[in-house]
Order: sequence, then structure tokens, then C-alpha cells
Amino acid sequence: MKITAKLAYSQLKINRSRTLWTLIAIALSTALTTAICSFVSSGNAMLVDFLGENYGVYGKSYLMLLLIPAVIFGVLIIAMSVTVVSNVFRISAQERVTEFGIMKCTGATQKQILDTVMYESIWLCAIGIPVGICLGLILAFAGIHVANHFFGDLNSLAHIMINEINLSLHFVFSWQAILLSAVLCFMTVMYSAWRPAHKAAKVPAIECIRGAGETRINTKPLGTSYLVEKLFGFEGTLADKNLKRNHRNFRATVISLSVGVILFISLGGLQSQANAIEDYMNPGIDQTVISEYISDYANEIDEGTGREKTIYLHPVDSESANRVTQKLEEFEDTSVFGIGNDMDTYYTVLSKELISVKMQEAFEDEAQLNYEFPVEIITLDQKNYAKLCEKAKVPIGSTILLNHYSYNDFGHEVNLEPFLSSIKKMELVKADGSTLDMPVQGILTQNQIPQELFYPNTNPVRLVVSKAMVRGFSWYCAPVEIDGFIEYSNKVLEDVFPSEVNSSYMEEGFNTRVYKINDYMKVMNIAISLVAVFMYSFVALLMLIGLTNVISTLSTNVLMRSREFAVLKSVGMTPESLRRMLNYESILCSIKALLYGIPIGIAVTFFVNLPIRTIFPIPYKIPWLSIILCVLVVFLITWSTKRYAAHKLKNQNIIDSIRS
Amino acid sequence: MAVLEVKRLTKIYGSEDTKITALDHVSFSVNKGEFVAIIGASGSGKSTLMNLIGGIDRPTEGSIFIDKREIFKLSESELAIFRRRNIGMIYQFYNLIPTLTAEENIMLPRLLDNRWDDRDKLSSILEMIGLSERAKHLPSQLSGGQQQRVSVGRAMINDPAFILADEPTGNLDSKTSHEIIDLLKFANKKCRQTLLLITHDEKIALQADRIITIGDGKILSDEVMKP
Repeated sequence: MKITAKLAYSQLKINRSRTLWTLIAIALSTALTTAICSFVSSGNAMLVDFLGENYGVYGKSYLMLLLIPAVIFGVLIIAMSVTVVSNVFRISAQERVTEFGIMKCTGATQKQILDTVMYESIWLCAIGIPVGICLGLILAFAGIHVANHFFGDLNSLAHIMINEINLSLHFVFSWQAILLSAVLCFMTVMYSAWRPAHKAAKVPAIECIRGAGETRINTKPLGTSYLVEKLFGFEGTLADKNLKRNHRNFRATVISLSVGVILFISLGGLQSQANAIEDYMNPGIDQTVISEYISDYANEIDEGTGREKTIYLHPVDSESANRVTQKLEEFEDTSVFGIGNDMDTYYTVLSKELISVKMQEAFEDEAQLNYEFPVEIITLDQKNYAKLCEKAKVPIGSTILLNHYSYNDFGHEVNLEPFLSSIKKMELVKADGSTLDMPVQGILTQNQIPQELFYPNTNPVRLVVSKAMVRGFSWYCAPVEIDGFIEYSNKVLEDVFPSEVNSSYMEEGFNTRVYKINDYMKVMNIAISLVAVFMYSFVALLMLIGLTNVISTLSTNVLMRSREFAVLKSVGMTPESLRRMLNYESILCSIKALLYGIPIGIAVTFFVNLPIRTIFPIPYKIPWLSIILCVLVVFLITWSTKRYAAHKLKNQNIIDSIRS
Repeated sequence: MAVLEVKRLTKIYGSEDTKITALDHVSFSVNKGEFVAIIGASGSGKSTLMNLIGGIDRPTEGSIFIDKREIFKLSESELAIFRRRNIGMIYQFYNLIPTLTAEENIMLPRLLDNRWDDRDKLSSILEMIGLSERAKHLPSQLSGGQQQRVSVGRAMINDPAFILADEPTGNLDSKTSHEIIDLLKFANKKCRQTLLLITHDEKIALQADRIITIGDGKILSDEVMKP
């Protein structure tokens, strides 16, 4: 064996616990990389399965969907591994600075010094990477199993999707993925080792012999905080000074803890926002099943006015809709609320006098004289229309204005009455310029409007008319026996709107479907849970890599400082107060990590909320729960490492340490 | 024949206000087979001189020739390789690699050249330093005197141009000191090994062929004791 390789080997043997933890770190990062590469190849196989080779028309975007998260995760893993592994090697190089000095005096070249460190990393890779690959394959296998469990639930809900799909991942043993992750990890470890080794090799022999080497102790005069002294006493002051003067040794620990805190808080924030979106999307109505008819449309530009007009290919009239309503109600114990709407045909121009002040404010430009609004024409089933007329105290056949508008003001939902009650008629204009005078006989305000009509509610001008041709019709049904009703309802729709067998979405120019209202929520729920499970496991494993760093740094620290500890002991420091000093060091370390991590984590969740706020009325909330959990976990980690250090200190003999 | 030539060697530490001239235009030469002691009080510039001759520090001015080669003209790596083949160094604190056995420590300069050959040379050195029985021991399993003998062995393994010993007895009791000095003298006489010994102990210096006294970075005297 070459002498450089042998030196590396014995170095690994001497500090066993550090070697072990470094191995774990390397194995874990290899495992994570392998798992992610395997997921990508499995996901690729799934996409090829139902999209075909090259993923069809939207190939690029699907590929991005697969690759972007993989790259982000990969970068995170590599960044973490570099921090952890290079820290190990930096400390190792620092420890051996005198040894390097001796070697240089005996005539070792810079390259040979570099080689001893690099051999160390090769030894570590030789064991860590194969173990990691095995672990990674197991991880991928388990992960795919978990994903399939969620996919199973999704597949059972597939009938609400436009296309019939069957999601399932298969474990793909891809040697390219394994090779890629092995190479990636090898390069990562080599780079991490090379940086500190290169530095150490450049230190002049004479400085190595003096023992100065790479350690740069901060020599500025340091004040210790009064608070630390008051809280933790003299041991606290010592711990504080050591942390401040020797901050490079603790930097990697602080960084890995902070990264964990940031990721954890961001995840917590993301999840709570995903849940808030889910809540918001929940329509809040009593019905359980929606039967739906929707027509295809085409857009063209009107030559006369230059406006875009929308042509419905198969609009539905009130008569057909009523036929469906009647039939649906024939199913036992079933109430039906039928709504049809047309949002694209008309617009209207209203003068300022008819518009409430709040609405004008909402449009910001208050100086405007006339406001143009798109008009939504709504038609209901006969019974509910009659009820609505009764509420508005107008005869059947009247047009009723729903005087309610809600919009999202940067995270807050604003509800207002857009029009003054003096409004008596509207002039509806079509894209071709033709007009229609629409009298407004009744007005309903927010608390008079039935819940079903709030969904969806994006239009300011909503007119309920007795009869109309509309693009689509939805029947909100509340049957007692749900599954039987869905079957029945499908038959009814098939009868009234017959379609050719096996025609896919919109090939007929229209589409019908029946689904449970909760199904969409369920799909979203499953998707959110699936993503959450994966993100949390990823972060947990990433944190495990960070944890190995915390432990290995600490154990090396205790070894390296054995002389310092021995001196402290020999001047009369009791083992208890020595242990206390170490405890304070870890406490101060975690406080530091939290001080960096929490604000950044809060900032990340805040910025994630920004785009969400522009779409949904979901204001920013500080994820307190995650923060509290984080603090607990960080202190748990430091507490356990503290125990570990105390255990190490027990086996120390003062005289041996001083003489070494 | 001069093995070592030191010419107008100057080393200045610090700059401007904190300028310290550790060596001030020092010149001398050492012939093959000579045993030269360099003495001086602490702070006189001994160690600086030693580090410069050993090629682990660079001078502010002046030059050193070892076997007619000007060592500071060599690059960092060339100098390292030159050092392992031509200079044997012994330190006050032994400076052995703790993870290598005694024989590996002795062989280190050769191992750095990837040479495990010439076991005869190793065993003759082990015999000379009297550690044949303890060749496989780690430094931590040896006494101070034994460790220092290992470093003498390491200095001699490559038959260097000269051995440079910096206070080799500074850390040892008087009996062990004698043993080490005797060992060095033996190497000097038997193998015609050139020996440069730095010490502050006059008794040890008196055993040399020639004593160079240094003070304030200058040579105060250069006396030949035994012709």
C-alpha cells in the first residue's frame, strides 16, 4: 500500500466515531440521490406508459415537471453533503496539521499531503457509496409502494377526470440512475475533501510545525454578553467565547441545523396554505352529487366591432334543462337545484350614478364615468326560480339582479353590493354590436342569495332570467342513495343528450358527467397528502445527513480539545462544570441556528404566500406550530449530542491528554 | 569538500515598526564528515538558521548551497523531494507520525518515494539505534529516548548529505541525552555522516569538531575544537 493511502487509512481508524458518522452521511446522501434518480426513472416509465414515447405534444412540460423537482432536490442534497463532508475533512486536516508539518519536513510534496486526504475520501466512498446505493434502492422501492397506495385512491376517483387514467408507478431498476448517483456522490465527496485538503497542503511546513496551521482563531477582543454570564455563569462565558473565537468549527453545525429549520418551517407553511386553499375551494353546499352538461365553444372576431365573440356549439335551452330536472327529481328522496349560465355573450356599460362607492373604489379609477362589465345570464330550474322570485317579491318571469360581488384583495375576501337599488334596466350588448334592453325587476343582496349561486362567483353583473339559451347546466342534487343516483343520473343525461358511444371529451361538441362534489376535494386532499409525505420524508432524511454532521463535529471537537479540557480539569474544573460548558456550547449553537433559521423560514413562507394571495383570499399566517416543533426538535438534537459528548468525556485521563 | 555553504543569509521577520532581524548576513560552510555544533542563547537565531538550512523556511536575502545546489532556486515540490533525499532532520519533540510504527516512521522518507526496498538498510539502522525488537511499535508505545532514536533513524535512512539536529536532547534526561549524542557521534565517525547540531548546552557542544556561536543573528565565533 502506498504510504499516503496507509496514512489515510490509519487516520480513519483512529477517529472511529467520526469515520462512522461520515460514512453514514455519505451513505445517506447517496441513498437520497439514488432514490430520487430511481423515482425519476419510474416516473418516466409511467409517463411513457400513458403519454407514449417523448410524452406527446406537451412533452417538454412533462419532462420539466419531472426534472425540475429532481434538480432542486439534487442541489439541496449536494449542498448539504458538501457542507457536511467538507466540514469533516476540514476538521480532520486541522487536526493533522502537525503531522503534515512533519511529513513536509521529511520531504513530502504538497501533492503527497493532498493525496493522504484524498485517499481518506476514497476509502470513505468505497464503503459509503455502495451502502448508500442499496439503501437508496430500498428507499425508492418503499417510496413507490407508498405512492401507489395514494395512486390507488386517486384511480378510484378517476371518473371525474376528463380522460380515463390509471396512475401507478413501477419500480424501475435503472443502472443509469445508479451510475449517475454514484458518480454524483463520488464527485461531491471528492470536491468536499479537496477543498480543505488543498488549503492544508499549502500551509508552509514551518507553520505546521508550530501548530498554527489552518486554525484561525479570532483574536479580536471579545465581550461576552452579560445575559450569557447571568444565565449560564462562568461555564456559559467560556462556551460563548469558544463559539465566537472558533466559529468555523461550529459553522457547519449551525448551517445544517438552520437549513433543517428553514425547510421544516417552509413545509409547514406550505402545507397550511395548501389546506387553506382546500378549505376555500370547498363550496359549502348541502348537495352531494353534481350532474353536468357543458357545450364546446369557438371564438371568433366580429368584423364589424373587432370584439371577440364566443359561439356555443351546442347550447342548452331551458326546456331540455327542465326535462332533466324533472327526471332527476323522480329518483326517490332527491332534491335538485339546477343552474345554467352564460358568461360570454353579453356585456353592459353602466354609468357612474348606478354604481356603489365601494364598487368604484374596487375599480380604483374613480374618475371613470362609464363602467363596462361582462354580464352573466343565469337560469334556474322552475321551482328554484319561483322561490327566488318570491324572495325578491317580483312576479314569475321577472329578471332579478344578484347584487353581490366578491373579490380577492391581496389575501382578503371583500364582499360588496356593486349597484345602487335605483338600477331599473340594463342595456345588454353583444359582440356584434346588437343590443337588448333588459329590465331589472328585482334585486337580491348577499344574504338573500342561495348558497348554490355563490359558486362560482367571479362576475359583478349576474342576472337571473326565467328562460335562456346557456352554455352549460349543472344540477346540484342531494339524493339519499348516492351510488344508485349517479347511475340513474348518467342514464337521464344520456337520454336527453344522446351521444355516440366511445366518443371522447368534446368530440360531440358537448360533454356530460356526474360526480360527487367531494371527489374534487378528495383528489386535492390525496395530492396534498402525497406531496406532504414525500416532502417531509425528504426533509427528514436530509436532516439526518445534517445530524451526522452535528454529531461528528461534536465528537471530533471533544477529541481535538481534549488537551484544552485536560488543562481546564487540571486547574480545578470539575467534570460537572466541564459538562455544563459543553451543554451551553450546544445550547448556544442551537439558539444561533434558530436565530438564522426561523426568520428565513418565515420569509420563505411569506414569499410563497405572495402569489397565492393574488389568486385566493388566503392571508399570510405565521406557521407557529412548525416553529414550535422546530425549536423542540433542535433542542432535542442538541440534548442528545450533549449526552454523547458527556459520555465521551468520561473516558478521559488528564495526564495522557496533557502530555499528548 | 563543502557539503553545505551558507552565504550572506538574512532573515527579517515582521515589517516596518515590528521588524526583527533574526539572521544578519550569516556566512559559513561545512565540509563532508564534519560534526558542527551551533550554539547560542534563546532568541539568538539558531532555530531560524535551522529552518532555513532545512529548507522549510525561505530567507529574506542570501543563499544556501547543499552539494553545490542552491536550494531556494528549487520549486516547492522540488525542494520537498530534495529534502527527503538529502537532509535528515531531528527535532526536540521527535515529531513522529503517531499512526505509523517505528519502522514505518524510519522508512517514511523512502515511503514518500514509494520505495519499500532495501530492508537490509532498515535492519542495519534498527540495529544501530537498538530498536530491532520494537520495530513494530507505535510511537505512543515507546519512551521519549526511544522515540528520539527512531527520529535519528529516520534522519539517516537515505544517507543524506547531512543531518540537522535541533536541540535533539532538549526534552530528555541526561542519561538518555548521552545515548542520543553517542548515537549521533557514532553515525558521524562510522558512516562519515556530516552532522549539524543546534543546542544551547555547552557540554554537548564541546563534543563537536567545531563550534559556531550565534548571537543577535550574527556569528560571534567559529572555533575548530579538534582538527
